[in-house]
Amino acid sequence: MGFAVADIFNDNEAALVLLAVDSARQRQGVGTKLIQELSKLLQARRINSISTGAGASRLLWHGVPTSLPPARSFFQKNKFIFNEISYDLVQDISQFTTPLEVLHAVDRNDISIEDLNEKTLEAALTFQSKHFPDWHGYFNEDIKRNGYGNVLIARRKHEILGSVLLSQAPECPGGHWRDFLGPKLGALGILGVSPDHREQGIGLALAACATEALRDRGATKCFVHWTWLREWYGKLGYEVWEEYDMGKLLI
Amino acid sequence: MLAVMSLYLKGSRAMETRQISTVDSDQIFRIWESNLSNKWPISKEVLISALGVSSPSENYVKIGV
Repeated sequence: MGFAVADIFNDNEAALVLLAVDSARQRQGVGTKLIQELSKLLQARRINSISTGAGASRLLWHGVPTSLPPARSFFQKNKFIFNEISYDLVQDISQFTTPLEVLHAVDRNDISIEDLNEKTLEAALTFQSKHFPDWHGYFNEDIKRNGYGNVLIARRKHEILGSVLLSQAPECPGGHWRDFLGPKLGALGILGVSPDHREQGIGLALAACATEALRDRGATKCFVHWTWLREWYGKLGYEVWEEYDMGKLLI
Repeated sequence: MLAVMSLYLKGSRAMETRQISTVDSDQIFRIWESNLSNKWPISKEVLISALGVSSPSENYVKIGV
């Protein structure tokens, strides 16, 4: 009639990967029983919260899609508390070109956007450790697996100012939606600029160059996973693919 | 080994919950199709993989009614 899958992370937290009930058996208490039973099993493992997806090692969604209003009501009825909204974005990039004002920002700031290489690797990893320690592992793992080609850096002389990670389906965020988004799917993510160099257009230049790089590798759509920056990416043409209510249940 | 627990609805009909695994893949996909596949088409293999149903990791807790 229904099922629920949760993924434990950080020792004492869990993420609800999916809860689904057969359409013919909804509104009969099946979903609530699944939440109650899941909570009991997780409490026995000293877990104290269940998120609506965020934190799972693999996930379908990182929150409750707002295009499913009954789902939000269901989770609220079961004492989940929602505290923010985030987005997955997408864009057809087959004809993408970087807006001129973005290029001007690159010139004005005297920066170069380039592929990571052996010479810049150490500085880039130091940059990650210093400014984005939570992302360091993702970069390291991707570099070990795929070499330097998936990382773009923003650099002024010897100083790394920002970086972004590229990926392509099936092994990319949103890759599980390739039946819907198409097989030529790319994604950019964990894009960051050092705090002292923000608001100068460097991040947008990184996003634009990453989009162009994915286009040049044959991607026709580009996915931006789990972001709050809808308007910011919108400057490059990205649009909301899905909006999510994010929250958790304390157990 | 399946952990089977009996739970009871307000009425008299019982619902059982149990751990799910790859042998339940067809049923899991059928439930997805009954609800969500119109908006989010996905193959059975990709869905089962994304859910971690076939993962041996003990971090996954997977139950069905």
